Amino acid sequence: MTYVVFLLSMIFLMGFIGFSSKPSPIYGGLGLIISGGVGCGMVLSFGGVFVGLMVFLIYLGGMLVVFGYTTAMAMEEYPEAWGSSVSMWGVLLLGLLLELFVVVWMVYRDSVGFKSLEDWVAFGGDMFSLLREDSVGVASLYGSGSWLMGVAGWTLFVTIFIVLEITRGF
Amino acid sequence: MKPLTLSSIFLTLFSGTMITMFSSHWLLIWIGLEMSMLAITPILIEKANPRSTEAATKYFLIQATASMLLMMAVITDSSYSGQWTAMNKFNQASSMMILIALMMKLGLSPFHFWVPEVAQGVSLTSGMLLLTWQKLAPISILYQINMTLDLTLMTLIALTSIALGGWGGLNQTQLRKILAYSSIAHMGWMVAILKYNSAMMILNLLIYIILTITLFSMLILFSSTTILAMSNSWNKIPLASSMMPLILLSLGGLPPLTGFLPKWAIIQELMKNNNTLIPMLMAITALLNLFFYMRLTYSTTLTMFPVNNTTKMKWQFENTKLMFIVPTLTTLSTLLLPMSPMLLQLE
Amino acid sequence: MNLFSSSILLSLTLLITPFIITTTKKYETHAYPYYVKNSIACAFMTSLVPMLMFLYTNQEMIISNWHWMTIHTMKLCLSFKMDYFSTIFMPVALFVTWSIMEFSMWYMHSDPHINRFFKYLLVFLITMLILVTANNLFQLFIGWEGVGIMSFLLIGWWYGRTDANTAALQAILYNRIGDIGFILAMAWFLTYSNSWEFQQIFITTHNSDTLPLLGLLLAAAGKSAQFGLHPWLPSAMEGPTPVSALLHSSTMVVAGVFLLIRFHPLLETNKLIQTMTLCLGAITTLFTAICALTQNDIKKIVAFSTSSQLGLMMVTIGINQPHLAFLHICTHAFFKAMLFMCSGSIIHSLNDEQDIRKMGGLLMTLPFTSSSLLIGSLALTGTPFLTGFYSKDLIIEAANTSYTNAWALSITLLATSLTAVYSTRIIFFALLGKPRFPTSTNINENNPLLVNPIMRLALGSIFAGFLISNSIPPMTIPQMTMPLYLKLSAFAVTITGFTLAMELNNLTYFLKLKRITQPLLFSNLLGFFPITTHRLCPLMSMYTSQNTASSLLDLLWLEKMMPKTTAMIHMYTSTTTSSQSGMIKLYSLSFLITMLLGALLTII
Repeated sequence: MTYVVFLLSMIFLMGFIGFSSKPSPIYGGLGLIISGGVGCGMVLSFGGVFVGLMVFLIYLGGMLVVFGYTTAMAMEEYPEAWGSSVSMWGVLLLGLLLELFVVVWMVYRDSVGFKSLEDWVAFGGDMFSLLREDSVGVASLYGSGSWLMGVAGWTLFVTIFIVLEITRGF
Repeated sequence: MKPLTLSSIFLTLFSGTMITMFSSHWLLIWIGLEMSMLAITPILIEKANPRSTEAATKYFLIQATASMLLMMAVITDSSYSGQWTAMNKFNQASSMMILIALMMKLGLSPFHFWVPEVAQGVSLTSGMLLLTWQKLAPISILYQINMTLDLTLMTLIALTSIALGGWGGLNQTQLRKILAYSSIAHMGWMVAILKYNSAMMILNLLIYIILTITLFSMLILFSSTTILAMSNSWNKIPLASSMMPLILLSLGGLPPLTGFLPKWAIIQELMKNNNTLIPMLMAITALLNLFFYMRLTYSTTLTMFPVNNTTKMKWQFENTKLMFIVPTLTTLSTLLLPMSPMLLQLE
Repeated sequence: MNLFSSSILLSLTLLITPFIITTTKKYETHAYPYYVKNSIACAFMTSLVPMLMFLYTNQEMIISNWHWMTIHTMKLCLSFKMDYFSTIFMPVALFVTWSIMEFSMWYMHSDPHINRFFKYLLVFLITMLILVTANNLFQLFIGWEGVGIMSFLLIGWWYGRTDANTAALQAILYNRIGDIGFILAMAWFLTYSNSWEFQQIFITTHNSDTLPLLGLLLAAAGKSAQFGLHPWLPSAMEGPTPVSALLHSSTMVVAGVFLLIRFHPLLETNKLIQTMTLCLGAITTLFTAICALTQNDIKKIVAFSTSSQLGLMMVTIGINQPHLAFLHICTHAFFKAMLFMCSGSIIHSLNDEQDIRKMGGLLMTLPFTSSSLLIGSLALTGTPFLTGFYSKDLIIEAANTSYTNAWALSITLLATSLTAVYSTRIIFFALLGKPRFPTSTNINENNPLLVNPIMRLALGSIFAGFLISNSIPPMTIPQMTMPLYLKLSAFAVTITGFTLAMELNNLTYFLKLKRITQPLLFSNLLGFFPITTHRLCPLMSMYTSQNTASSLLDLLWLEKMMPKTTAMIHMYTSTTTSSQSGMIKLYSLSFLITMLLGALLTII
């Protein structure tokens, strides 16, 4: 299980590296979608089945819009992929090497610790599991700090508002 | 912008900063930062033109990066300590990351590049908000976490910020850029005193904000954004023009004026801690700031820029700009030094 | 208490009287010069009384009647020392000055400020007498400085002329150099003897240290224009002729020699200082004699002869014969004053012409002046039984028979023969031959104000030496037994000088000077001394100062190094740190670098 998560997180990072080495928007969108999907897989792996699914649906929905939008906006005859220029290769390679370095370093230092990675939310055997208090705290944040929901909702609303303002003009 | 839109945006902006300042939970702190960052974006692009859009984009990118880094630092730390309170003692990596995030937000030395560019790209009013209100939230976070920060690193950042603020301003003819560099230098002063006496940092911020608002109000009054335009101010509103050098010198920290107070107090506080070299370096590099304020003073008031005769009549026109707060601010930014015992009591 | 002290004080009081009445209306009348002249004459008569008493009974006296001040343990008194030197010097100085005053009334009669001129001359004389009669160093210093400042005023009398001003400044500056030595000596005596009284100094200073004596030698060299500090003396000829006469005969220039005579009790035990004095005097006497050889200005020649004689006096002190030096001061005063007055007469008669090449044949037109000039020149060269003979011959003999430096002796002898040469030159060019001055010149010498003083001094030039040297008791007796050739050597060198000079001068009738030779240039340009010291040294020091002050300090340190460099550094830094292209790449780069550095910092 641990190694699955590890693998997934490597793919997760690779997706972002691929995105940030600046290919055409269409490939960038691809990278984002892969990362998003894998991210949901990671949440699933930690046991958050429902959250993972929800995030996957919402995120994928949003990302598909973005993907379609970028494809429509930046329609190129020969879109720039990762292999089309040396600099792109270089950036991709650099990112991957950096990731490799971090992974190797982490493995040797064992600073993250594969053994306790899943303990972030729940730890224990198959029979029963314990939930950590602080992750419960996140839930209680929404529970007792209900006004936070108001703030968050307002923020989301304003975000849309602002985005509209900026894009639509004045 | 429609009034309703404007008011909701400003509500978000102010409430975001307030939430950051009032919170001791990192999540809320982060939310407040995000709110104010989001809200300031449309204010920055108030006049939709490519320059302000570019400036807003840059600002958004930097702030978003910083917020992301802040969140990452907080999550990393909470994974170690299991805590989300701001009073928590950080581990070293998180402390470093959070410091870098706040430095980016404040525009301190290695991340100061965005400040002059963003300030130059936006209108005067937006620039005023950018250089004053937007400092509050990050500074309040710094104030809360000052225990965990590294003294040597902070001193280094402060010194380079003050020096770069001085040097950068020397090379400018654009007033908004000059003010941006002045802001960088002042942030340096604040960071320098943070570890020794964080209340004094707040005092410095207060006085810096008063001075900057006054100066921006003056610039809005004169509608001038360059030194050349300032040199024509004497025929627009002569009285305000004559107050201009006082405000500038106050910003430079010349003794009988308000701006001297924080510098004096900071130098004294550093000396109290047996620290002589650093305040000396700070004071010397502050001379660079004083130099370009003097240059502004020179072209604004000390010399009379030649203009044609029709321009000389401008002071007879009625001023349409509503600037009822300018006299109060001018008084505050020049004559506050006698109040220093009381202000220092605020510590 | 007898007539001695009262007549001395009366004499001094008489001198001060004309000075006091300058505050009254009398000062603005034409009678003032007469007051001055007559006061000096009366003072001379009065001062004869103590001199005669001294000659008769060897009476000496110290008048010490006013306690001036006490500084810690040092007491300062106003005291007059009336001994061998001052008792004899006073009448001589007063006699010579009396004549000069009378001569001035003729020479300066058209000057609008003649009264002030007389006052200056009088003060000059008074300060000299203060110097001579002083019994302590402080009083002597007052006289010394008074003489210096009065010489400045008198040499610069015609202050409208640049040369006169320059000469006055030269005099004061060279004298300041000498004053350094004087003050050094004063300070030394104050420190080690705790007194400025001569008696106490002589008693307490046994081991005769070299330092104060060196100071005194420097002071004497400055005042008496010895080699190195001599250029002011010929320049001082820019002053009026009576000033030159007074300056060169009995005041000022002999003050230096007089100082050494006063300090003889210390000098005689210190061989080093004696040798230095001897060599300095010998160099001076030869050098100035050489300079005198080719000068064409009549006053310059006489001035250089004075300088040469002063060198001779120094030689005399150097061979430990202060009384002979003093004798030479007294005899020299008569004929040197007269020589100057004769020169003044000639100059005045020829409408201010001083060049001896434009004179000639004055023997016919100015017979009295000419004969006096002849007497004076002969006396100067030491012709037997004229005044100069009694001192000069003695000096040469004393030098010849002493165990002295043969080099110094030989150049002194050479200088003695050169004295004859330049004296002959004056006589030959000014008095003999045919007139070379404009025919319309109105010449007369029948004014009693001119004739009387010259005549008095001419008589003095003939008889004074005999009278003085016969009357005064010889204090130190040189060995007077010597072979004939030594006895005749002084006379022989003089005769040789005369003969050679006559032959050479005669040649000028027949031969033309082909080109200027190096020796001639050396002599005519005063040994290149003024060029070197007055032009080259100031030029060098000014260049150095300019380079140091303007270039090094102002330009380099105060401008280039500090402000310009600071400005340049700041400009460079400013443009480097704030030249932005507005690329967002820069932000990302700074972010990346800082994150890496931060990560490194955390790992380590």
